[in-house]
Amino acid sequence: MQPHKILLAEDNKLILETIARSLTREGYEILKAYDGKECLQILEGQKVDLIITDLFMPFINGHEVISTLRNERKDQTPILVLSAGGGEENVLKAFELGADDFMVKPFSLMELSVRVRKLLASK
Amino acid sequence: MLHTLAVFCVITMVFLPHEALAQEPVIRNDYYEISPDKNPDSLKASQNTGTTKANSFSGIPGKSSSYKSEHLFQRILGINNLKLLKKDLTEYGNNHLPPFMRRVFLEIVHKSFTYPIVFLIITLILVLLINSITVIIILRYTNHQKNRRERYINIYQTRYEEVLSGYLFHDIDWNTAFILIKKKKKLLNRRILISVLSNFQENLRGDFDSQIQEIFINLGLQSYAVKLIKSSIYYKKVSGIRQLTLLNPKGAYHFIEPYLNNSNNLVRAEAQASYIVLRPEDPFCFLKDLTRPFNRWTQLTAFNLYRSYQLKVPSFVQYLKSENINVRNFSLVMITYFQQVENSPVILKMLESPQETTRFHCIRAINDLLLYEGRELIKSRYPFETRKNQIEIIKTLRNIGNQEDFDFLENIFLTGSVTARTEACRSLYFISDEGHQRLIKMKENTDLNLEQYLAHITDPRN
Repeated sequence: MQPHKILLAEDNKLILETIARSLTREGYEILKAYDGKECLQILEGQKVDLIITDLFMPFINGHEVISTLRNERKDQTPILVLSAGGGEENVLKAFELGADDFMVKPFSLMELSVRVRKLLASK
Repeated sequence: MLHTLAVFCVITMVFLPHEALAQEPVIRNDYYEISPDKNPDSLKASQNTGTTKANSFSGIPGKSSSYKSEHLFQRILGINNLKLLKKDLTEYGNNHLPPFMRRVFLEIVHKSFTYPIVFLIITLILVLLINSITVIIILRYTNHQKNRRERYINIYQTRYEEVLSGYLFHDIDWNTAFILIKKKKKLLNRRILISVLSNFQENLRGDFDSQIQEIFINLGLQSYAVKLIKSSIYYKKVSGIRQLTLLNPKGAYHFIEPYLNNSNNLVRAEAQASYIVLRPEDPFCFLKDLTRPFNRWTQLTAFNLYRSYQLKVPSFVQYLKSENINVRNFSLVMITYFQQVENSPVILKMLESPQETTRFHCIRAINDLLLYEGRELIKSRYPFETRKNQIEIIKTLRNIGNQEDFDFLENIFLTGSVTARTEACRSLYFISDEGHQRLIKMKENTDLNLEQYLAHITDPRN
């Protein structure tokens, strides 16, 4: 059985690598994007099972990524949003645009792992 | 001024009949004398009391008369004007410049009117060239240093991130990690290490918390943060407080406590914010002993931290006894926000405060907490209150008032300012239907333009 493919978009390199390392250990295949533009480019070439995206990224932010995927490309891949603390409005906006789940920074890697499993199972 | 003169001097040089003006003796002899037939180095200071030496310039030598007619600048200014210009420049130098500059200035003036202009232009070009080359060298050097530093930071940051990730994910043990973390005693590398650890701590929680704190202490970074706190520079103190709070919350309190009442606003605010995070069991305890201002920004930060960390809410009545007006006002706002109605007797007592803002928050608390027992009290205080507080009293009566307040409000409507009338009208209108009827009756009996007030207060936009 092929491992689930997860696209991880985050501009903080340390956090990107840490999450990638944590999820790779659990047997997922991780694709990395350092900004929203790169995230959309990767998604043009291949399909993934889950997208984990930060909201604030250079070039194209998380909201625009979600909006492009849901409205323009009609892509229904589950999306988990990572948001900075105190940004309730941004999280609500992400949900309105079509995000499936969110986590507020600082977050626990164990909790992230549980949410990823849940989202992949509900797909 | 000096610059303008110097530039003018240089411009003048270009067009001057140098041979002619070189013959001109200068100068006020009470300062310096420049003898044109002598070497400029022979300038000598003379402290003789001075009459101005007569200007012995008597025209242009025969050969230069044709030169004169050919010279554009000379034709425009005239030779006498040039002579006067040189004299003025010399006088300016003597009268306005300090002794150490005077000599140089006079030499420049003298040479400007003496030497071939090509020589001076070449000198000027050389000076400009040397200046430009120096600036370029400095820029390139600083840029090179900056890039080198950035490269260094990037290299070590990546290296530390890899090693620390390896340790946090148990790929390597601490001894290996300790060996792999190179140059950890260097100041810049310590900063890089702290930035990596802070990045972990700010974004991830739970799994790594205790490990990151251990790393912070084992690498000796705590002592670096403590050094920063003890620094005499305020922003270093702030940085140290922040590092300790984030990376060693258990041991930080002890170091931060002395700065809760610091005279520097920023240090104090940072220490107070840290205290709230570090002491979740009693986050506002420091307010008891606070003698320095508790500024608005820190109040907002404190409230935001309380919400973010979902801290335990203390009874704010204990801080109402504080002598610090900021603390009292903040406590009144918090009592109102957290609906601590059990404190009503103390709140009512605060109406006697000599501070206007304290009384204002008190009236607002009576309004928001619906303290009906305060109704007569605020009415009795109305004539002695400031205009701002009077308006707040009228607004409060809208929520806690009854029929007994109609006469009071009607009196304000008949005698008060426009704002007071508007609020009195609003309160009468919204207290009850009887108040509404009272307004209609007033409309019939008075010639006041009541309809406009009613239109205003019933407009949903207001």
